[in-house]
Amino acid sequence: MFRIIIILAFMFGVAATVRAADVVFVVNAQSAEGSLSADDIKSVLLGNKIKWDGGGVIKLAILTAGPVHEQVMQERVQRSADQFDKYWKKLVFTGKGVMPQQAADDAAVIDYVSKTPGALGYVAAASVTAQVKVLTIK
Amino acid sequence: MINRNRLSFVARALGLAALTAIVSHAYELGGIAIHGTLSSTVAYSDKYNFLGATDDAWDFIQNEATVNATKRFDNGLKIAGQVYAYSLSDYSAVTLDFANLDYSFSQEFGVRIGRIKTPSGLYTEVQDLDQVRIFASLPLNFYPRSYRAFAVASDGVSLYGNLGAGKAGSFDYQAFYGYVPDLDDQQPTMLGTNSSGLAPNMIAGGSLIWNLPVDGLRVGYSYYTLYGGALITNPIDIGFGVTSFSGDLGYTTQVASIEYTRGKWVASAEYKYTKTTTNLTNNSALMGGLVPAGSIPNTALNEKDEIYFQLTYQATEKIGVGAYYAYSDYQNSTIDKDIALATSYAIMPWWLVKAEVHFMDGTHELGSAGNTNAGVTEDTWNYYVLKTTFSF
Repeated sequence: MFRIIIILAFMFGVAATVRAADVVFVVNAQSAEGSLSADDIKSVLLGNKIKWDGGGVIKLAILTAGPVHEQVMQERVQRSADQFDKYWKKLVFTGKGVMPQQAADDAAVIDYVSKTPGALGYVAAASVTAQVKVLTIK
Repeated sequence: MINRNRLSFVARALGLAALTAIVSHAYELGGIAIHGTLSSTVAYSDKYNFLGATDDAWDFIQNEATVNATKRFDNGLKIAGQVYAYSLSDYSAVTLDFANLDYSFSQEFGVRIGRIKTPSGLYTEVQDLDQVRIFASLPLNFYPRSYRAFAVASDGVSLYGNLGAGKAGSFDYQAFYGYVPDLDDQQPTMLGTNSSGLAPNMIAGGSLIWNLPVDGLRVGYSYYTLYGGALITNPIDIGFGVTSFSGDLGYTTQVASIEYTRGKWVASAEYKYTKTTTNLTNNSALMGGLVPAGSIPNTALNEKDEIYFQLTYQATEKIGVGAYYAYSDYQNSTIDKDIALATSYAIMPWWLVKAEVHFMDGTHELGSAGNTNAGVTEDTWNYYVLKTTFSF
């Protein structure tokens, strides 16, 4: 029994590790930006940071649902997807923010980021293509 | 019994709702993002008229429509505006809720110029935004609907930013100064205060929110003061004649707030202190000129302490429930208490229906929108609210 528990714990641990490493932030391939801090990522997602340090507006693309979106919400802004959606509605309807570009899936994020200078999005690592550049999170 | 006088408005609202259903996503026109909401509220009381003809009758007390447009240019400049149309009790208006230019120099510092919503407490700025909460109503006395138009926004300037504080979390601040537009003399605030002219004039204030390092926990303090305001009352019979009064109005409010979000739970509590001062004199000479105009002083200081505790739970994607307890101490007169229970159901992501009940103990705000009640003899009464909201 103890062995089974150890095996299950190991399996879940590995699964969690893989899942946590599965999501990457991507920017336009022409972007000069190569990295952001975790605090910066949180500030961007919450609409507090709207410009790249090197200049230009950050054009954020977010997923509307799914496990990648849920993971980013929990890990990066410590909110549920529903709370994040309400947070942004509050910003928009008080004149404090512009709703991020909403994408139905990873392909839509990649498409938007690849075509939009200054864009930032997040996708499953397996979805990354040569059209975008992966951002390092410091 | 349903008040049929407002059914035509409801019919139009339902037509718009159908349109909303068709366009249940945000629009983008030339890079301008367009969002909106449409809602209708019906209420019933077992004893009194409150915000409408609700005494033993269901009444469409409030209908609202909001259209919002926002665009950010590549240089970071943002322009945003919102039109808010509403009917409340027997009054209706189309208002410019906000319209401003916004430039963020950095995360720590930005400037907005134009019409800016007044930050006060956790929810004043989002009091019309039904889709972000479970309750149909914010605590009735703490966020009174009848006073919504009073200092809801000002024409001026706002400084804002987000300041990182390392392991202590971060701070969101706003400081603002501006001119508050005069109120229409038929506005519910005016009817509720028995006034024919109300010019709040200048407003100054600020808001500070501390986002603590504990996930989901934030505390805040907000303050604003109106000064240089003018008030004209309706004619009053003072025993030896009838005259209106006019003079200076001052209004100050302070709110301390705490909100904790954990999983599907949101707990919040707020305390508000409000001080209103009026320094008026009679406008007409009385008793054949024996009492000249300007000779009868009418000075008043009204203070109010209010607090509420609220807990909500988003049980599923569709169903949410909530409860609150609110206590208002009108220091010169009475105490009002309000226990409310609510539920919301998302028929579609863009279509909400809500139901709530208020167990009221106190009648201080009954006439706050100008509604009259013959024979207010009992302090306890119940108030039922149904609301539906469409958003895109």
